[in-house]
Amino acid sequence: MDIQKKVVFEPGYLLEKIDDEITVYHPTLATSLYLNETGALIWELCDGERSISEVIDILVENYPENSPQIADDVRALIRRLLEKNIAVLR
Amino acid sequence: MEKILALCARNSGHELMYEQLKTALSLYPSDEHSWTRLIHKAEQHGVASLLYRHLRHIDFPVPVSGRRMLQSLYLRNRRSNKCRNNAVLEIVSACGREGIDVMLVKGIALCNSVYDEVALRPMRDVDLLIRKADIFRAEEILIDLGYSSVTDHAVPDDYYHLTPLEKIIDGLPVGIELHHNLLPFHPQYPLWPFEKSFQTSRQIMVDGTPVHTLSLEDTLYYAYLHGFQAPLTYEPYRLMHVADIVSLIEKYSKQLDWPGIRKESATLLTSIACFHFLTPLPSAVRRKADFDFSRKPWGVGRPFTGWPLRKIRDTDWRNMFDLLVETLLPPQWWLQLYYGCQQGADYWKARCLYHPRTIWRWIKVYSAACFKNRKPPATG
Repeated sequence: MDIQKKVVFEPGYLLEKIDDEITVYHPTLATSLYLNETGALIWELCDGERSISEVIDILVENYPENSPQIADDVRALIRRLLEKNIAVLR
Repeated sequence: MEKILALCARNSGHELMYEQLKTALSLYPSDEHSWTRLIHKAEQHGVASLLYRHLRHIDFPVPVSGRRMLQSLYLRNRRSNKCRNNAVLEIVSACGREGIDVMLVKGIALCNSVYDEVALRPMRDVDLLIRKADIFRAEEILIDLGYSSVTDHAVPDDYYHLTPLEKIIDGLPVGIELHHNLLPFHPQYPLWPFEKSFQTSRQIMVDGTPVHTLSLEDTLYYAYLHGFQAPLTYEPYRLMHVADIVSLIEKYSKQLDWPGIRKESATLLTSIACFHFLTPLPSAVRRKADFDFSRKPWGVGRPFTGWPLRKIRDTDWRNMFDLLVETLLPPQWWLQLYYGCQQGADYWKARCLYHPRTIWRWIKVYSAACFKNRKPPATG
């Protein structure tokens, strides 16, 4: 995965909290994805402007105690988003 | 499965209903596959969000994948209907500026007036009832607002609504049907133009904005005709329509003009009584409407599945006898619901006279169509 690329979400996907779970869903498609708190934060940071490496840098800066894990977590989530056609890399 | 869904076909639950729901759930398999089937069935019936609501109320431990499916369906309904609400408010306001009165009808009116949340009542499109004299001006207004005709869904000029218009709003295709008559033109339905209901219309709030819709009694009568007295070839039975009526009479049992309803359509009350065997009506409502619940009919929850709903050409010859039985001997519950007949002599009249007569009429319709070598009417 090229971490210099930006994550761009397909139009229409929304993130909402329901029953203490964070869900990414589309109003007309059956695709949905469940995120934990970290996933939700990564979702927010991937605004189409920041590259993946910038997202990782922000998280490492704010959560230095988790820094060894952060890059893997970000990559894993983005891989899931790509697999489900919720996002593309540009 | 059917019992669980039928019990959930309502906006609000009550003690007896939740007791019965817990019992039905305790008998239902707890594996993920069974729950997936249940949820797909709920979605087909348009009651997935209601199932989710009632399961959440009793804090039932739904398997993870099932719970997530329900959450997702609920969120999708909520988002879609909020989007439709915004679209409707824009249209009503634009029509109002041109002096065109608009009444919200069907799903959009029910989800905003009968249910506690818009997510609980799915709909395919938005239906608006407009004076025939205004309808083409209203269509122009919608086109100015960015709506366009759905080309593969053209309808004839004399149809009861114009060709649906559509606009993509926030990624969602929002379809609008402009009606000058509420129901399809069919001998089984009364004529129902805008003027029939506007004088008695009531105001409901859509996201804090007042809009017009049918009176409570008209809404009830419409829901009954559309859901349960439709021509046999129309859209098959769905629990969503049960939920519309049950929720309406529970929410507005004190405001509804019960003597007036009885006078206008006694068969409507008899039909409503049939829903009690699917999802129990609270005693207060039963007293108000003075329903007759003396004996449970057989075949509760089993709709008509015979010809002409099921086509002969789609039926294997080995199943022809079953089709014949289903056509001529439908379940008692459905017969009472469809013909609005009570037990006893009324029921036997429906069984031996009204229903065979209905089938005979359909035979004549199809024969005439075959004779003229054209498609039969009424495929609504």
